Amino acid sequence: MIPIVYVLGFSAVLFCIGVFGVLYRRNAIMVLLAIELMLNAANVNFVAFSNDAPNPVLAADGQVYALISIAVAAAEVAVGLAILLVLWKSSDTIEVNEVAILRW
Amino acid sequence: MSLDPLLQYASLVFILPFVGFAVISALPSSRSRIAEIVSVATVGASSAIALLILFSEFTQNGAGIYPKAFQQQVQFLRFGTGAGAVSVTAGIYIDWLAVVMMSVVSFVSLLIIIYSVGYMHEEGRRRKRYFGVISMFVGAMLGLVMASNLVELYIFWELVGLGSYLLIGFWYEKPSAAKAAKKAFVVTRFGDMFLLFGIVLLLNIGKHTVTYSTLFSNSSVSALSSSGLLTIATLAIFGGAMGKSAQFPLHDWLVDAMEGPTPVSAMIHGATMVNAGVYLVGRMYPLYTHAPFSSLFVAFIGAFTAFFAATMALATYDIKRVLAFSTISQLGYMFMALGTGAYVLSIIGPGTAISPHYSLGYSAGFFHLVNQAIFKALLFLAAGSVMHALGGIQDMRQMGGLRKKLPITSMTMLFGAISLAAIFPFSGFFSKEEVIASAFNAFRYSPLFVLIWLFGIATAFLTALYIFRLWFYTFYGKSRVPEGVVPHESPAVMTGPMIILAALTLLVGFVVLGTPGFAMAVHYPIILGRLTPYTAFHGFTGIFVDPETYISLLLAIAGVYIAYTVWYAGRDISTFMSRPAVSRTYHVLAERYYFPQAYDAIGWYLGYGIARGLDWFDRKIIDGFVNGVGAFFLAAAQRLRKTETGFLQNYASVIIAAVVIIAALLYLMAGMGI
Repeated sequence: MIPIVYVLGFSAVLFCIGVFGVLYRRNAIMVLLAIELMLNAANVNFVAFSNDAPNPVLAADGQVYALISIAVAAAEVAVGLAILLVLWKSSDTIEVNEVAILRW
Repeated sequence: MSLDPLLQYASLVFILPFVGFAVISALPSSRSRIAEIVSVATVGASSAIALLILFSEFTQNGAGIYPKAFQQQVQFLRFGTGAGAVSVTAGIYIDWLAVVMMSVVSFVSLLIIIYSVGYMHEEGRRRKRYFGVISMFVGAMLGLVMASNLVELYIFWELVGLGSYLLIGFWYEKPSAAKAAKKAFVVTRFGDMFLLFGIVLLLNIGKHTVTYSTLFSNSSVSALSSSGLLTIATLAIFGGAMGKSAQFPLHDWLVDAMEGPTPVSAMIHGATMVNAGVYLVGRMYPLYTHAPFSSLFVAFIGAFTAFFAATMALATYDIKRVLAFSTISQLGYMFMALGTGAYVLSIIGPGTAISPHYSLGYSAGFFHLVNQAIFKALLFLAAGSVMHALGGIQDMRQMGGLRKKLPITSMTMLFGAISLAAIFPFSGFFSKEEVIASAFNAFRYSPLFVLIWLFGIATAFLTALYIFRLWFYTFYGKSRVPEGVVPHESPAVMTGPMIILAALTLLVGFVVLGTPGFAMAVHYPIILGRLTPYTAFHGFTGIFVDPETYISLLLAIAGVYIAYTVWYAGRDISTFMSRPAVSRTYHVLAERYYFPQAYDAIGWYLGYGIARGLDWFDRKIIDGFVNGVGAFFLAAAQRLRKTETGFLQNYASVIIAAVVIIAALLYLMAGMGI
């Protein structure tokens, strides 16, 4: 069995890549993808802890949360992509820097 | 329980007029006639009960009320719980003072209300308001004298103030009447403030009670004197009395109060309001007799006011104002006597050797109150009758020669005038001689009483002079009545009460001094218990033994004689009056020592100064604070809004930085074991 520390290390790396993507990508689709990476890093954690759980009841908890998280991510992508579609139609761009209209 | 079954119904005496007030308030104003009947009936019934109690107590030598006062109590308010609870009971406390006050107040009020039926007959629908308020006024005054504790007294005290405001301002469409009503209310309220302070102070020292029965117990009084605040408390209570009883320097409202209908003046001056202050000092006598400074202060203010007001009465032509000054002056006499008596008692202390003159001050002040109530009500009713005859003229320069036209009015007024001037055998003579004798007898305790006595006898002279000036000037000499005014004698409903009061001025002196029961009634109870009733009072014969009686009697007769030569015999005084010193003095007196102006100036500068200070505080401090808070947030927002860049990734960075910082802090805290 793979030691849990490795899995957690992997998920941390994945999360940091996601953060990096959110903060540095200008394309809104890429930002969404980065968010997906962050969510999946969390999912990996859930599953890892589930696998490492001392009894089946606690193991089920981790798996259930991973499934919920995936469902939430799917819903969030649906809303996000809809916003991007509207954004594209209204301002011909999906660059996040160019839509800074809610400001002083 | 009491030996006197009538006393069980005593509380009806003050409840009935309030019932009358409630009934009249519920009537439509088209039923003014019924309002008159209800008012006369309720005050009449209350007066009948009061007089029955009075006579029943006299015949039993006060068995029901002396030496222990008759009381009925119900709990009224309760603050707190357990041992520290303060409970306020309401009830009645009836001793000799209350019985006599109840009888005088209700009976004289009844006569005045009957007189009002005639006097106010032209007022139409407004009579409903008049009779309603006057019933309330009488009820409030009766409640005040029957109250069993100071809180209850204070409630009725304020109701009396309200009644006076409503009655003085009865013709509220007249600006002067509205102003006078306001002045009466504000000035007496100024005094009431002190009274309230005094009551609160009494609740906080000694035995923490304001219920008479416990407040006046020996242990309570000695606890109060040892607290060291008794002087302040008694002075504060006297402050309330000064406002209500129009003592210098709060006297001026009573003169302006003449703006009300004349029966109202008779009511305020004779039967009710102004007596409240004297009653209060009489009621608090057990405290004053342990506060020599306060007593001396009361005596001084009284003596000075007596003289001061009498001088002003000489320089006015308004028939009602002469009487108003006279009331102030007579009230001064009462305070002078009460203060003197209390001082004497406080000096001799609870000694063993008791002399009749120790109670002289109390008896004299209280007795003079009774007499003043009668003859002053009479004088006002007679003055009202003159005004009624002349269609509302108040200026004595437009009267004169009315003796033949108004025979009953002039004769009854003569009775009142002689009584006021204190000439034997009218009642005023006895009580005023007692008042002056009380100061005379106090010489041996303090030389200051020489001054008080001199004020007293000077006032005796001035009183006789001004009241006979009024009488001769109004009823004798050439008629100065304007063309077209036909004087006519008043109807029987008005002259009847006047005749009854005139008879009383002649009777009361003899009755009170001549019968043991009555003499007890005006006696200070603590001393009374150690004397036989007959030696208790200075007494009917005692007056004539005392040489100083003749001094003041001669001065009074001299006053009458001077008034006679000038205003009856028509001696020319124009050269005397035109002397610069005399005319200057006269002017100052006619301007009432510039007191109204001084009040206005003080009111203006003080009020305006305070208002300006408060305005500054409001604008600079309150507004400054509110505006400052607003300006601070505006300025802060101006700077902080720059952070709202609109760039998605700025926000994301802040969120992530915050998460990192929180995580780091949690980690550190966990490491430190917090």
